[in-house]
Amino acid sequence: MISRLVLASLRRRFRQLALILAAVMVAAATVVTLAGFSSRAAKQLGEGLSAFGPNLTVRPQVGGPASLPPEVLRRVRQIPGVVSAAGAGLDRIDVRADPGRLAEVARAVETKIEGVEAAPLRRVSESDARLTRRLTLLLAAVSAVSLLLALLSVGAATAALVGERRTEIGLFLALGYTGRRVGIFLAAELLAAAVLAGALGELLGELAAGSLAHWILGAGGRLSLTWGGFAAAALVATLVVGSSMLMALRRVERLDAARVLRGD
Amino acid sequence: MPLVEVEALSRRFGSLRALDDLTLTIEQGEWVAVTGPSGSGKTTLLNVLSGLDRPTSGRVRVGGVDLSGLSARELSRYRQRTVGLVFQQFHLIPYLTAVENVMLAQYVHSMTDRAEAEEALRRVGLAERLDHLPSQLSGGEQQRVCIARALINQPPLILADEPTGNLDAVNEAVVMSLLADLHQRGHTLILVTHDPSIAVRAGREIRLEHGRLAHVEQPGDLELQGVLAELWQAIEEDRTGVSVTRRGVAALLSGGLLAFADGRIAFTERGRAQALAMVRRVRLAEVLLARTLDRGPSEECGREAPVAAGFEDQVCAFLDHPGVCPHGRPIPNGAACCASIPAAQQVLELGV
Repeated sequence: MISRLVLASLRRRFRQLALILAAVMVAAATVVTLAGFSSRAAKQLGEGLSAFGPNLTVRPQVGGPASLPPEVLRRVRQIPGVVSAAGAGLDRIDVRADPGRLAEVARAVETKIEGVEAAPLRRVSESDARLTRRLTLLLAAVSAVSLLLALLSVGAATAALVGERRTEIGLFLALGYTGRRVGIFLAAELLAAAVLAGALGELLGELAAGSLAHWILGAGGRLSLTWGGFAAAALVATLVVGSSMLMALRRVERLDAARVLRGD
Repeated sequence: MPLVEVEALSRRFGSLRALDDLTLTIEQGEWVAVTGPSGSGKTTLLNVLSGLDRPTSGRVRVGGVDLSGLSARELSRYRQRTVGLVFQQFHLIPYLTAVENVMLAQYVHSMTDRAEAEEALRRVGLAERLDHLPSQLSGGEQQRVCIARALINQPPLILADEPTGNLDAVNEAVVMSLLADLHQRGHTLILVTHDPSIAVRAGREIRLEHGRLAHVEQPGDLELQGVLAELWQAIEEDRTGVSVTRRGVAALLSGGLLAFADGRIAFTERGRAQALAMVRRVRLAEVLLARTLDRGPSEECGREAPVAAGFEDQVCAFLDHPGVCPHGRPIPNGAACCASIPAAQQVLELGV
């Protein structure tokens, strides 16, 4: 019975539900774009780190031996966060470390290898980090705005949906359905739309993330659907529809069935 | 014990007193009409009895349960089990078929039985309309779906708010007959109406004015009309034993509808006219229901609820002026019919 109710209602309220579907889909797609692009950017930047050159120099301590033994180069390469290390000469090792862990890597080198000092090359590392951070912030801002817009538009559409169905809801209450059960009927309709919107959002988001990565980074444009992407899309859909549903449920529970059925 | 006990019931909306210190009881199996002008509190009383509204003060007990002490969840359960609601605007779900609308009331108990829902619709004469949407049904048919929905869970109490308010005379007769049928089957029926011709069919009339009990009619008009029709039929069948109440005959005598003279009781001119009109309304209702609901005649002639007074000519024309009822008895002609009243019925007298 509930599936018949939901399907019949979905067909009848196609326009409102299409609006809800579109809003949730755009929000989910934006968030998936953010997540997808960030992971592609991190991967791409990581792959291209060597192109940016070394960001850490390891030298013998002042007052220590004039040159570094080859064993030191091998030990430096083993330290977590080190991407590459090469000895231009035995008096200095040029290291490419993960920009986000530069200070941590420098400390690890000095702690684990005696008689050396590690000096980060600030300007290069900060430039790397700043580029990644700015892109992420930009996408996060876009995601937040689209999420907010989705919350507002879906909230308004759901409120309109409940308002339009006041008589129907009043009838359900008059027949003896509890407010919670009526809420479940409405939630089932919205969740059906949300699941579809989430899946479409994941697909669009991954496509957008791939295109963006290809355009900005020159690589990583391949479409790849991931469980993480689906989870992000589902999270957005649940958040948007869930918050709207909570508001709708409160309206259902406050609805005066007697007045509504009387036509007031 | 009465099914419904209302004690000092008040319901206020701000400064407005919709119900004001109302006290009444309704017995199991009773048919009560609640009448009164607009704003007199009729619908508010029905809403309180259905558990859709709560009293501001006072007590309402239905089937021994005090409604004012119930939580929202318990009130929902009360409505599921005890009350069947019939609305003036029908309130059918527009995107569900007739049978699905009835099943919706079953689903409140988390189960549905399509065969049972179809049977309920057959009982109200909608066997051919099971899979029609409300938009494909006439007003009368929609109201019959509403009645089937109200009955599907076999509630002991039927609350009907202006059930014929949106119907034409023909459909009004059908719906009233169905409600009368429910009453005969033992349901307690509380019917809100502002139409006196509907109210007289009830066993008792409760009149509200400004939320107070204005005047409680005793069993009257309908009973007396029934006595008139019974007397007429007895004469028609040449019966000597007539099953009518002494009180009824006494009331008809004092009302000038029967006259006592020379050891005989006879219809007065006014009584004869009223008896004829009543017999006509009842027999037209029998024909109408037999045709509309596609069912055979009731076992006894004269047991259907009559067509509403004032609408008999419309119903007669709708039925193409039938000459006899489904039991084969003549239907007296009205002003709109061609033939005159049969000569055999011109003079009627009762022996005592």
